[in-house]
Amino acid sequence: MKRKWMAMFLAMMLGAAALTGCGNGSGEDSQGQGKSESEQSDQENENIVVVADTQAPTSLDLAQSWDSWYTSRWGITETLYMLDENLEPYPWLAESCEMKDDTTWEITLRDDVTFQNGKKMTAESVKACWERTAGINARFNEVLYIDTMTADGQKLTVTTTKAVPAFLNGLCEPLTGIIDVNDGGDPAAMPIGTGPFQAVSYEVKSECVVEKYADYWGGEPKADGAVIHIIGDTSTLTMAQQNGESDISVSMPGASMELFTDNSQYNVDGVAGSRGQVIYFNYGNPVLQELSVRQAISMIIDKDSYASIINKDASVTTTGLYPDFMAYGAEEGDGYQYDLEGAQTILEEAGIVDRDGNGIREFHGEDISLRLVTYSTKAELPLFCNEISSSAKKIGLDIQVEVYESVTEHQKTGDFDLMMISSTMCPTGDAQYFADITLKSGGSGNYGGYSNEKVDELIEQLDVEYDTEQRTELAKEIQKEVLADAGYIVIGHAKYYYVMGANVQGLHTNPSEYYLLNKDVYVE
Amino acid sequence: MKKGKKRDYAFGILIVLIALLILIAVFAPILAPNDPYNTDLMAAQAGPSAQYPLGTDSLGRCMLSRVLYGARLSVFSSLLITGIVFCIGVTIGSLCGYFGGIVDAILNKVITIMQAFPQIILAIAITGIMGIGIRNTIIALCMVLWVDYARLSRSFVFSVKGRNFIKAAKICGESDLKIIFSRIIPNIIYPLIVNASLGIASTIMEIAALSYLGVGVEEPQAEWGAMINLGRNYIQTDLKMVLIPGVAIFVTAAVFNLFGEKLRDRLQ
Amino acid sequence: MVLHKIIMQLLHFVIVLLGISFLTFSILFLSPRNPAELWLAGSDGNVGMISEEAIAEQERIMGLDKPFLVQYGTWLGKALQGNFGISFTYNTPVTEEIAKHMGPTVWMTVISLTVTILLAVPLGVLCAVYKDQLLDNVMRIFSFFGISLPSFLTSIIFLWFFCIKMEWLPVISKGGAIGILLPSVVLILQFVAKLTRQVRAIILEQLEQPYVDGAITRGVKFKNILFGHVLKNSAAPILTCISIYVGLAFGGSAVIEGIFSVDGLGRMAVSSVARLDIYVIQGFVLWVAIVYLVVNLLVDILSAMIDPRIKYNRKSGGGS
Repeated sequence: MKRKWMAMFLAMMLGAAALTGCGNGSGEDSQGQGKSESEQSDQENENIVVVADTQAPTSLDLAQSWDSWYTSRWGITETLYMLDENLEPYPWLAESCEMKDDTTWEITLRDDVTFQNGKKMTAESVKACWERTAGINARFNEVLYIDTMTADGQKLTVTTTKAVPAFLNGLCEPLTGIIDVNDGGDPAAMPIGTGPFQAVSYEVKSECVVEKYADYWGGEPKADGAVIHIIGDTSTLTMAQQNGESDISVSMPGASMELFTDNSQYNVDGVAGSRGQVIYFNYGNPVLQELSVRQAISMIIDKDSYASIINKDASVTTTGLYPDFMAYGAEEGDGYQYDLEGAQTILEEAGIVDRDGNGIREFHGEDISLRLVTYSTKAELPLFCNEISSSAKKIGLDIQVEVYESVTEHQKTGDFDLMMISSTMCPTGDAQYFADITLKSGGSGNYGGYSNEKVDELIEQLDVEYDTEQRTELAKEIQKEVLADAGYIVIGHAKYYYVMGANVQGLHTNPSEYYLLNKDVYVE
Repeated sequence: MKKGKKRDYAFGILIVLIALLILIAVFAPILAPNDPYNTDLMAAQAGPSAQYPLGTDSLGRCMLSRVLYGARLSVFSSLLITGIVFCIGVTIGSLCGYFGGIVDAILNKVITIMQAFPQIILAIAITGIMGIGIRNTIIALCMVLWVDYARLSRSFVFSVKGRNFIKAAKICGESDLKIIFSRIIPNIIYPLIVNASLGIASTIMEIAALSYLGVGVEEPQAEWGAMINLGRNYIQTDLKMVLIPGVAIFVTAAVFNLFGEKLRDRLQ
Repeated sequence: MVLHKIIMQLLHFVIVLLGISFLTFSILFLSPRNPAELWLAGSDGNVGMISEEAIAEQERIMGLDKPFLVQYGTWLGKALQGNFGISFTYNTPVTEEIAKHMGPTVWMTVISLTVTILLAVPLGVLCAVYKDQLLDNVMRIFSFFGISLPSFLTSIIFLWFFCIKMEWLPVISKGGAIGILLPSVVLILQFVAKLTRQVRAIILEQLEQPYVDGAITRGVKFKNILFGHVLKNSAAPILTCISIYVGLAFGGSAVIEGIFSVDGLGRMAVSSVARLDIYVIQGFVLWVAIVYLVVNLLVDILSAMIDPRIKYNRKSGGGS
């Protein structure tokens, strides 16, 4: 009886296998072979880099949403300027970019850049591309603030609607990347960029295949092509790297890192980026208007342990607000040190004590109970919040953690006492962005209503200052003021890192999250 | 006679076990050696010790205390959900099946609409509107799960309704409600009880699945499904983080299901 | 008469589908999140970093600036002509999007349901007949495992065992039969664990009916009672149980598909909800509803064919 069932089961499976095999056609089957065969074909002629990531764009059209970040990572599109490892812009598709006056820029493009269809990139093509992007994506207008564009040969003259000191940084944002919009093809499926790799196919949220563009202006790419697998689950991502199916993994969870410590097999390359874990205080709450309470909360966070133990070294400690590695990062000794006793002393001195002996300090006769709001899509945030809640109890503060799928609504309505979010603080390497939207009174990302006259004054200076050194000094000054005020807490900055097979060559992590595949990457 | 005695014996054990589970849940604060929410980063992911009898999780919280407190959240919430949806579902389903006509036509449309609606989407959408958390998860699951019982009992009522003993009761002039509650429901309840006893464990799983998708119960709640969800990233490096809550769910599932079956035998 | 029935049935379908589409629209509309903002924010959690003007502009592009009923009416009008809208996220027609993801999910459903029915129904019957004996106890323990292991955990364990430990299969699904083998097995385990218990309960219920005792006393062979009466009487409730799994499976499992990187409907649906891609969700919900309605109709017809009493009741019930 049992055997009969087994036989039927097997027959079913085989039948299904045969049918499905037929239905899929040869295109998928060529990749559907086992591991050994793909290795074999690698050895024969093809050098294919297999990348696995958990996140994916909705199309390959760089104008859509944040899809440009992916076309940039996958080596399809490039920008006029690029960010180096210190997030400083340097010329890439452009030779130079000169400021004529506060609102006029003259960009000179390289003469040797061709699109992947062989056509030359000119100022006219850049203009056409940006016009298209601006028409599709409202965010574009907040990156470059372009008013008019005049194209002449390789020279593009741009006027802006306001002074944009961070214009060069804006030219690094992948959204300002260049594709040939006069090609006639569909940029969503087959964008014609200038990068070392050309899109072959993209199955949305499943798989993207790119092949090298042999006439790439920077020289012929070393790899013949790449396959990018989009894997939704982090356990799957981990295992695919473990058994060698993927050469490079992006977004590996911190918990898996200890599986990749064997240097003979794996190479983990990571640098801290500008994505910070930021705590916002709600200044509408009288308790949080007390400097001593904010200072005490700043002191119960053992930033080093958060980064090394909870986040398994997937983030680094931040002394002040901006990433330590930036020119305007805080110096050692700035900010607040982990000191539970010190935190208690500060509260005692401010007269915030536990009179009724229930373990919780009172403020104007009422137990201090605060709601710490965060969201679940960044795995470390709820864990950090739990740790804060647990430590707060030790100094007599009650902090209740609330985790949501998204905190957008809380940001809008101010329905929180404390809020922790993960935010890219210097997306284009510039300090102004975070200062403008978060630190300034009334900034669009100043959800807790932080307001400090001195800080506002400094930010206004920063907004119109063009000298780099002066800007750095101003940013440092701003940071110092906010820290003295315990206005915000930044726990650390997430590392952006790749887990690679030891045989992957030519790849170094850049903190910007903009780049991945380049002409030098290949698999040995 | 001998067989019957043996059965009672097993039934007794099961009642004791369920009572034990509920006692653990109620007295978790007394039984737990540590505060389940107290973190101890220096002792993170430690093995069993005198202080932490079952070791600690990735934040250095006591696994034993968490699993004991978890009994509270998981067992009570799934009992609550199953109880609510069982009562609502069976009542609506029986009324539908018995009365037919316009009542059935309307309620059946509602049941069909709810049933035809993909449950996971509904649950995600509801928690999306109301926010993550144990209370909203319970509400969302209740709104989703009652239809299963309604539909099952409705179809069972249909298969019982035409039987002679119902006709006889009708001829004898028994009231409709009496027929429903004392003749029909007792006749269809057994498979439903077995369903419900399985439902208690699978409700814990539904909560876990929602947590996995990021919309169920969230950290730091000591809830078994959420604990498994936290542990899954450590499955290759620290197996106990999934094993301990997993065993807890397994035992609970077994106890409630066996209880359901024995109860059924006895009611027969 | 037959024509009348068909018309009534169609009317029922239309009412239910309308109700469902309205329910979906209202639920999504009630959501505090804004699809335009989510679109602008992308997947990297940059929500809240986008200006109000940009959001308003994006809402206009997506047609979300209109009142609720206008949006629903517009969609409904187009849907009746076969145009179910364009996905916000993918910029492709919803029907195309669903058709693309349907393949793997439908195959997984067909395979896992067939195997489940072939395994669970006989096993359930055997467990009922040989109650509390070896097979019953083994199946009982198996069921507890099946029920108490969440599907994501079973999936991860399978993936680890077959792909890392044994290296029999690739971790990243390459589509085709190999790709859906493991996820189908996970589904089968889950379904068999539950369905076996349900079948067992239904059969036991029948076996304890007086007519069985009566037949045995009359000297009718047990085999004849089982196959002649018990199974026939249990068929309708068993079919009802099975139909629930059909509805579940055709919707795909976001959890299982995610882990085995199967590009199926479940994953599509959940990521669409995450991005509030209203028209894709609407299309998906309608697809599941249609499958459900059709399966239900089939179950009703089959039940009536097997057990004439049901037909009689249905008629007097006057409903569906």
